[in-house]
Amino acid sequence: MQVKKGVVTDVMLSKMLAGRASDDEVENFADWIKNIDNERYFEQFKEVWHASQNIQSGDELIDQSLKSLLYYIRNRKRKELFRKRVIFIASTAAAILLVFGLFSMFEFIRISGKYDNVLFSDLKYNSESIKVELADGRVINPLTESIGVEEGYQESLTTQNPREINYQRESRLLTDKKDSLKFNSVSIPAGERFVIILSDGTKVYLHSNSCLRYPVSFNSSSRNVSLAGRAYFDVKKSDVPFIVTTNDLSVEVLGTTFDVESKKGADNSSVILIEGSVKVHTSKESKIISPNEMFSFSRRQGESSVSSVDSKAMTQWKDGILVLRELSFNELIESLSSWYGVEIINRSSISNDERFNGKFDRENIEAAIKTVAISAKVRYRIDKGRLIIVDYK
Amino acid sequence: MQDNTHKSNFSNNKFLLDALREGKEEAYEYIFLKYYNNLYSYAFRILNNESDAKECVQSTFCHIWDIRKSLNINDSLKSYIYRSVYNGSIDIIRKKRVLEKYEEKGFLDTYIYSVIQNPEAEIKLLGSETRKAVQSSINSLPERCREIFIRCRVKGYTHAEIASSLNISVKTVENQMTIALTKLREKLKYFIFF
Repeated sequence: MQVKKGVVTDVMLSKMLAGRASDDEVENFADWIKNIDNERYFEQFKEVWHASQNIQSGDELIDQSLKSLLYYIRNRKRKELFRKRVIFIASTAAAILLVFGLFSMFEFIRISGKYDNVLFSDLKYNSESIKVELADGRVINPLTESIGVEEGYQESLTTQNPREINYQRESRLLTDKKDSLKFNSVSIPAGERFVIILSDGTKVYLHSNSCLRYPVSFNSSSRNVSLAGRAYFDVKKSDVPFIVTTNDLSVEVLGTTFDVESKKGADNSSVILIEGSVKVHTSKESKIISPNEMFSFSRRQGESSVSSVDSKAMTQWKDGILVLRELSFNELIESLSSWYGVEIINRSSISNDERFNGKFDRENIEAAIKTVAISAKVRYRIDKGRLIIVDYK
Repeated sequence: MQDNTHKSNFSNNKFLLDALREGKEEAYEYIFLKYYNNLYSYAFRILNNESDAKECVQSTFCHIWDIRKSLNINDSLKSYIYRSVYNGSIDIIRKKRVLEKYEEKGFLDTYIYSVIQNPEAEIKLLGSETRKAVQSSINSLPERCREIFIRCRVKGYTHAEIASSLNISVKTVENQMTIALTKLREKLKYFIFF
């Protein structure tokens, strides 16, 4: 093929393709290829140049690279496992074995072998008790004292289960003006939970570190309660709206089941709907959410969002199982501390970006802490009744 | 690796894709062995450097693992992989500032679009008649002749450079090149570009 190449030779084209052209040659080439015929020639030259090469990686390189890929994959798998930190109910060693496999079981044995002198009986549990503040200002502990209420209320406050108060009174109508102005409030410390049945039959499960204020009896036009912390409401159907007010939002329903969380100092408040529909009001807006949706209100940004969640799983705490989703290590520790009512100090250096998931039953703090320790690769000791978490190694 | 039933299943694209998404090691091994050599060769011809080519191909496979859950390939897996190697190679030469000298001359676009082999052209070339013909013609050259030809036309060394590295005279290089080109032109009548 006869193409006027001028100063550009085939060797130079090869140099261009092989990345070995000098500055001058690049300049010449840049000029040369502006010509359409040259461009076509180069296209063909390039094709043959590529076709003429038979570069072989060699078996050894393939072998070695494959090994390093598989190594990468396994390493990642392990890391993903740890990153997800799926901590299932930690009540039996068998469950741990199931979740983490043999590998982690050995690690578990290795770690616990070194630190099994930790005596969980040394842990100091929260000594605060559940408090019910009555309308007349008296504060009692329903676990130890009977709720001796004035004038004829004794029979109405049934407490067969010491962790439950029932305000339902068949004998009275809801229109009792006097009682609707009498407010009681219940405070639940860390490590406890409590159930209240309000006068209309609405059942409220109170989470640890929470407080609910409610009238002894609702009147016929409103059902208002206020909440700090977290509670699960199973509201009795009625034409009278039931309104839960917290610091930054209020939830309005007719009859439905939902979970409200509005903790002091937390980044977000949230409402999770299990059944029916609820209307959530913030200072800015009102939103209606559907079952299996979670309304979150970011306190910092003052913005709200709605996402889909598995509402049943996320509200299992009311049945004594704490389910944690996508929490940072600090949040995880805070939740466990509140759930078990012990002081936990985190001195580990786990990144705040890591997310943890887990499921814990209330009865077994030891299994829970051990599982967390394996999963997060931390160790712990008990000092003056407090649990101290430090980096492993 | 010995499991042939598995391997033959992987020739089914959907099956392979599902296995990759699920993170099955065998599937990764399968695509690795299937594509590695050609990808390495391709990356090498863009990067002109052994260790960069190695790194580029390796990180392409690792990348596929990392994003496996969102692996949603509309065209073929093959073009996806080639495109990844291409993008990875360009990233590498960009990082190594190889491109700067082209950029200074306002030649970067042309360099990327005209000089660097794009993945579509590379896939087309693989197993094409052109490639087969060129390869077999070059292979039919006498050894010495082939070596000198490759040094000159593939690697872009001048006659003088080849002469001194092979410890022969420039005249010998010229003669061998004439023989090589005559023979190749004979065989490659339809694409005489050299």
